[in-house]
Amino acid sequence: MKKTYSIFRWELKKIFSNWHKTVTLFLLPAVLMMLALNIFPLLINYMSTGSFSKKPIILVGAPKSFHDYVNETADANVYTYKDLSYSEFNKFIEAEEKMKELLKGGTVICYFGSDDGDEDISFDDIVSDYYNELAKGNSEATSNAVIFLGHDGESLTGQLRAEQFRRGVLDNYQASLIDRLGGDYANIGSNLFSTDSFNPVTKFMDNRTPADRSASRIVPGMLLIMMYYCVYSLASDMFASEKERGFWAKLIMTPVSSVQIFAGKILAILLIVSGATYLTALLLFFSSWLNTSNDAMSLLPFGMMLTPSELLILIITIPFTVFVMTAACISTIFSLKKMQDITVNLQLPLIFFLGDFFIQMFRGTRPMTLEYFIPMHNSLALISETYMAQEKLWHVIVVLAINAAVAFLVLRVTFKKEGLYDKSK
Amino acid sequence: MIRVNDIHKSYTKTSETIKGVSFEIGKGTIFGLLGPNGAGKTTLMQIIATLMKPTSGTIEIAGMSPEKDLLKIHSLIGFLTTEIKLDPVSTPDDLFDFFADLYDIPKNEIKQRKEKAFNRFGITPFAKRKISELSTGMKQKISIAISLLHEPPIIIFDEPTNGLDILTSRQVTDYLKELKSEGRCIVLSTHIFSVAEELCDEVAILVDGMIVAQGTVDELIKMSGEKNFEDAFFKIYVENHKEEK
Amino acid sequence: MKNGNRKIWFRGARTIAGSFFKKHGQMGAEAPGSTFLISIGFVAVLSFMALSWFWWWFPYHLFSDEVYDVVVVNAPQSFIDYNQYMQKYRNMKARDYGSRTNWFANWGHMSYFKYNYDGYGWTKFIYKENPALYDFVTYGKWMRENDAYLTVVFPEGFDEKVSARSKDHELPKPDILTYYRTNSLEYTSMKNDFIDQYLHEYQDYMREKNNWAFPDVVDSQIISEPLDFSDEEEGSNVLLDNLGRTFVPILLFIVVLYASMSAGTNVIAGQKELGTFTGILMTPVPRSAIIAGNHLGVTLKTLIPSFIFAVPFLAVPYYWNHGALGPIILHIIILTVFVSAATILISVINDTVVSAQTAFLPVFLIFISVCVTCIQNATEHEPFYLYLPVYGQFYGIGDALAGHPDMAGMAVSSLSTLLLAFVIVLISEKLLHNERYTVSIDPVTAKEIRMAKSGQHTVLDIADKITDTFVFTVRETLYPLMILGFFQMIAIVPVVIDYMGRAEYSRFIADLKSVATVTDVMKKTFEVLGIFMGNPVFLALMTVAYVLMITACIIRTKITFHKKDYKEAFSIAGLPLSNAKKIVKDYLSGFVFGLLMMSSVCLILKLTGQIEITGFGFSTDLLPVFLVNLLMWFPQGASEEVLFRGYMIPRLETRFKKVFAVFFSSLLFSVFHSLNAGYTPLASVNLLLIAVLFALIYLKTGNIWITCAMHTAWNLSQGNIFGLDVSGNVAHASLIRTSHAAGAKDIITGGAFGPEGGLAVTAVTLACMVIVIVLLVRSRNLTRNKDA
Repeated sequence: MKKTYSIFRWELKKIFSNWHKTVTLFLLPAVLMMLALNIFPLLINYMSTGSFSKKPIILVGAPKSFHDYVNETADANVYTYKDLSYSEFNKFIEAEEKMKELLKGGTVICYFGSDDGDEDISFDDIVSDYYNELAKGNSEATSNAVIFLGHDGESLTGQLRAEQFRRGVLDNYQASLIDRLGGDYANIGSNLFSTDSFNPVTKFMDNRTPADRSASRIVPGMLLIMMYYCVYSLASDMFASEKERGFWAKLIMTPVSSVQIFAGKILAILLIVSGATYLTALLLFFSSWLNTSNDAMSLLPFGMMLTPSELLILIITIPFTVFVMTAACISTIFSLKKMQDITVNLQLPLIFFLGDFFIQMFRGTRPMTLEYFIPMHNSLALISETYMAQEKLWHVIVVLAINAAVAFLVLRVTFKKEGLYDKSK
Repeated sequence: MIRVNDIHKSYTKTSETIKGVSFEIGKGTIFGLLGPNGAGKTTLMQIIATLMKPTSGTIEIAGMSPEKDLLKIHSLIGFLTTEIKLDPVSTPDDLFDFFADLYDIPKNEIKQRKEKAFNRFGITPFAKRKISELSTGMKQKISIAISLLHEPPIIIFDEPTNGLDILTSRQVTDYLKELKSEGRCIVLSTHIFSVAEELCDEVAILVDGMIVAQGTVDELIKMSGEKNFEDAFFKIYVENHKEEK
Repeated sequence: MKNGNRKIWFRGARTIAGSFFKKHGQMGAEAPGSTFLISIGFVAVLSFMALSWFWWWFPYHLFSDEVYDVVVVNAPQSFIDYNQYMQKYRNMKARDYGSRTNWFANWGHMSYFKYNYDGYGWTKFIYKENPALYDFVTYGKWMRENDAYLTVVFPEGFDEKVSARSKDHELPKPDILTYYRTNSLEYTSMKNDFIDQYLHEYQDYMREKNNWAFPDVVDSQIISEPLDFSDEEEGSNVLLDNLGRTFVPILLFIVVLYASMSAGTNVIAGQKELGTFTGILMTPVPRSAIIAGNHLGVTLKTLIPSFIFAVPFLAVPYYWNHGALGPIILHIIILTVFVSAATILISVINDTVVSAQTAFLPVFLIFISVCVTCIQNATEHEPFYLYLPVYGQFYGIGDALAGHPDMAGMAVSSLSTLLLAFVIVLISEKLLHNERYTVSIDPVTAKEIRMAKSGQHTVLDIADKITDTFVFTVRETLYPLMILGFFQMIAIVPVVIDYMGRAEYSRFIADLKSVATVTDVMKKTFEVLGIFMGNPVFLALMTVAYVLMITACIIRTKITFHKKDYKEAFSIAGLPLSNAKKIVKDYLSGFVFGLLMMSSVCLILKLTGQIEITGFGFSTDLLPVFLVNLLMWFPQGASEEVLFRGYMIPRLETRFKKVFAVFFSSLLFSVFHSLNAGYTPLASVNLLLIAVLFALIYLKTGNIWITCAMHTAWNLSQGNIFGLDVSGNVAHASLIRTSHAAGAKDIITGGAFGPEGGLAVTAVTLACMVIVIVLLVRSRNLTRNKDA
């Protein structure tokens, strides 16, 4: 046991004595991922649109009540707006190509007015006239106030943004009209109560839903790729190149059983890779929280959140996955002789994980039951469903047990094949 | 101390690398294993060092079988080949401490031994430098110092002076003689005849996985009827080697 | 001669490129059983995924733990009535749908099953009472106990408020709060459905019941207008289009990346490791030819699998008819050239295959993120992307397959990518002239040699130094702030949860809604902190936080000063542990000194008639707060001293002069404390003076035991003995209760900030400073005399 610790400490020391290596292993991937996910698209966006924020919502003939509403409501402040008068809007329509392009990029146009196209009377006036009539007892009164929400019908982004803007802002604005413009009629006509007008807890959880949905598509795959890459480069350093250099023979010749040597090295890999992965997960979490939009289209929307039990599952799953990956790498390394063969065979799973990552991004369905029994991939399924808050205890148990069991089995078979004296006795 | 009993080793199904080797080495002797490249020297050395299992046959080290008391045997053996490259980012100091720890040397003794070993080979001024910054000879010396830090009674050296300059080579041979005088049993493989002549009490010539001649250097010269050892070796080799067709 | 050179160049390059195809290829490498098993696993994953698309509802029975019940807190009579009224409809629905747990009885429903707020009439209502409206912990417990997914919290007197508002709509609307369970994301929409449908109908019910005139008001309409400009595409080809824009480019990217990685990372690095690279360098082949040959080899070797993978897609008639062949081949070639160039560069920089592979990770990740960002908006990409390297290839492949190749984009992106690849190749070639990357593993850096040679600094070195200093300063400035912020955050979380569960604070929390401006936020924050200061849990947590902060500081000292053990780190951070007797002596004397300073401040205030004593002692229920508060001041004082004096001054001294170190740390201390409530400019000055005084004492004694004690004694006596405000924080439990006298002037007392904001403290601090400076000068003279 003491010797295992010696080996473990030695490996750690070796890694940390070379800060280049440490940084490449720990920080660089995580930071790069965060940059790639957030700042890079942001910069590109800046270069192409000249603004860091998203495309504004184009408001046409927006009434005072709407501006008031935007000023008072935090939700509405998330969007940026560009005001156009009716005449400006007409010019805008004439420049058809430009408008098409804007709309294609997901711009949403929000037009306030009357449905007969009368541009002389403002939206507010139509609504308050309507309520005046109602208050006077004219039950036949009608309002032709209308808000058109224009977006590109072909563009998924435009459709989603329009839908989101409608749900997040316009519907609530409409509901508030009676309080703002209803006059006497508001006494009875306005809503009798409001719901969750200030409820930070529920607000957090409402944000969590789109954020975690997105995260469940992206984060698990990212973590798995990250884990495998680290395991693979550490394993080829600790086993393959030591074997190549003959240093391995020197270790084996010490009166320390090979099981202990393996255990020490595996522990070091476990610790380092789990640490790096936790860091990546943390940075991905930050990238979500740095993102200002809770838009379903952004990669990691604002508000990613895990309950303590979900966090625990994530934290426990990672080392188990690293363990089974390490076992697979060790098995590959010790069943091949040539360094080049080892390299190619160690890289291949990386491509599979990449494939798995993209599948996870697209599939949109829950995993089939048998997927929990495929080692390594089952961790992806588990982490993904954990982000979806669909985790089940038996899934966790199956995944952890399968991974640990497979890892032990693989290591056992590898030891047997090694042709060494069984040193464990 | 070492008893090798009819050892066979084959990597593939059709050919054997070691084809039945037996010998015995006693305390305080230096046993030299000579042979051309590809004769199976390294394989045999690795089998003796218990790094490899023979396909058939047994070996016994200090009366113990590696099947049973492998770890005990390991603490009795110092093993060294030129093939070993040390980890380039560590320092000699760290390496020594690490292996001392693995060999279970008591803490208070480590420092003493390190000083002694490092002084002997002139490593001390480089003790805190990275291995990658050191010269080849220095690396080899560090390797020797580390391999012998547990003061093993049995020492297995694969080509101990390979790649060393004359000065360093001399240091190493002197050290080997000293070790012998301390009553240790040394097995070394080499193809440098002067080394073999100077050091070895007993020499075995390995050709195509078989020991074709064994005895002291003088005995072998006498047996072959040549004047010097080099010619003797050559004659023995030609007599025994069969070209494979 | 020139011609001969060229000949050698070409022959060398050709030979090296050819060598890629002569030796036993890597693609045909030996594969062990583990690779085989992993591949089988991947195929299994693929098939399961495909299966899950056709059978998407299948595993749902394994997850069916969704709950439907609702907890209603403080339910008004009207809501209870409404629930009873609705019960018969819900019963009907439940009967129609059948059993909630027997899925197979409802085969027809199963394939379109969706969570719903009460689509099946299964909801039961559980009535509870709780005056604390924001007590989400309790609600969570109730929901778990009762199989409920939702808690609806009514404010007290809901019915009365509603009817009062029917007479005067200026009254605030009663606000219903909802909380839902975390264990499924579906509950969000279930909650929204509940609000939109059930609560909406409840409102209609109330109106009807109360005979409030109620025509269905339609004051305005919102109309979503999908605008259609694009030429209609054939529906069946949409799938192929999407595949062509996402799946195909990703696959080709992966193939190129992997093939290039396995062919390229080990070429030069591998040869270096084996020692054969020197042999190649020794041949008369120029280095540019070596790079070119390797680049060509890797490119060609990568192209083979890439084309093989491209063929099946090009063979699809839909893509073929778009004339995708030419553009795709071009894009693949360009991409391969680029990736190979990057691979060669990595191979040149690294000495071993393993390190080359590790160094490949960033390239790998960048490519993944390019793919990810590209497929996020595969069809609606900005035209700008078409001209960028790598992005251009991704979108180019997609556009070509979909039949909208953009010639200009193709040309620009190809050229820019090639240019980039060329630059990378050029860099690799230049690096081969540097011995660091050819023969020697770890030589002295060129910069060091230059410095040693001339002793001069180039402009670059100076710029280097400036940025270095800047980064250092920023880091050292931010470090304490970050530590403190982090630990305070951790301490605040449980306390916030505690207060949310208290009924008396519900009003307070609801009022936070009106917080909008920055000043409001500041004001509320201090109000909240003021409340927290009276909470023993918070104080205890802060105590722990301060202790952790000291620990973090010591650890950082150990790391930044490269100390082997913690004892040394402690003494560097101004807390030498060697002499216990001296520690006690220093600490006690510091404590007394601090008490004396504060007492003299109070004395001045009392004598000038600025404060008056209103009473002594406190009620016993404040005792725990008082005790915990006392306990907190010890680590609190120590932690600030370690941060701003013990750690920061020696740290800054490694770069700057002592005077600057003292001044800078004191300034930071002052700014740090000036953020508190009731801030006055005089407070900043005072805090700066105090900080300088402490720093001087630290310099005089060489340790911070005294200042730790002074700091603690100061805050303790101020808050818990004399009952004054501590830098803007209200003290809750003190032995003597004081208040500002009627005619008190804020300039002397410091007003709401506490005495640190007033002239009284200035006077006392200045007096002390004079004493310390005199002592310092004298001791310096003494040592100087001794030296002489």
